[in-house]
Amino acid sequence: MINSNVHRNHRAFSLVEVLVVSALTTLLATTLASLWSGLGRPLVDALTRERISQDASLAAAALARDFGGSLTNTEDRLGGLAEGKLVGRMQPDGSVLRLCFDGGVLPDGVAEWGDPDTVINYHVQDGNLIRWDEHAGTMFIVARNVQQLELEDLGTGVQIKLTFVYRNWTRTYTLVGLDP
Amino acid sequence: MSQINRSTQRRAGVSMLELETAMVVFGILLAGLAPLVVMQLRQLRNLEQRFNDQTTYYLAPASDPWARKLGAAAAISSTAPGTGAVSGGGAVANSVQILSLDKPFAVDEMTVHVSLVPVPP
Repeated sequence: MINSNVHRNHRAFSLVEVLVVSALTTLLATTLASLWSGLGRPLVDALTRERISQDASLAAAALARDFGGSLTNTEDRLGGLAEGKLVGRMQPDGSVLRLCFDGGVLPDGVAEWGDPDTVINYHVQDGNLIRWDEHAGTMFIVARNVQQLELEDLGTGVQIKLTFVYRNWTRTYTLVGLDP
Repeated sequence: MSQINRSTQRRAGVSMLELETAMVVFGILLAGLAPLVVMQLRQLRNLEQRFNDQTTYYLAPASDPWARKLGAAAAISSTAPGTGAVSGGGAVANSVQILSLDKPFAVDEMTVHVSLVPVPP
């Protein structure tokens, strides 16, 4: 009989137990919510912004190398001033940047946009900014999360607008590449 | 027998002390994360101060043609450079050809071997 009472008493929760559990659950939920809004979300946003900033910095660094005025690979740095010099720029459709560097045994200072010159091509493909060496046939990804490359000729240079999208953040960076 | 049963049943749940201990450990772990978050935010601020989407940046090639030839990247600046670019003007005394160059990664110096051929006046 005693055993039966004990079992009956512990079959369900008492009101006090339910209230305590409710209070603790509320406290835990409030703590986690404030933790997410105060720490988690800013951290995720910071990581997202940092990712975009890093991609933009990489793109700017690659463009700065090519707008330096001369090809930077070892063999093109040999020879005289004319060899490997940036001699032409075009931006077909405002979405592809082509830079022509003088080449050949006797560089002529004229952009031929093909052999023996070296043409470097920047374009966006599958969300990546690609640098393609048309002469050597090599290409590599300069930056990821790129949505758009917009180019506008300014006469003495070109305005380059790079739009990056990552998660729910969109950033557009503006660069002006000046001709040497 | 009744006491043993009761004791077993009491151990089935989580005591308040255990819950509080768990919360304290959870809090300590979170407190350990906070400096990392702060450091991350500082790095982001530094990165965005150097390069952000509110500013137009100019890629200005070096004014010295030999600096360009040796691979100096265009300077990235937030102010439009002047029009003082030197295009290698002036009388040329020698024809200069770079024969070889050596640039170690960790050093800001470059060794260049050149040949000089005087240009007849």
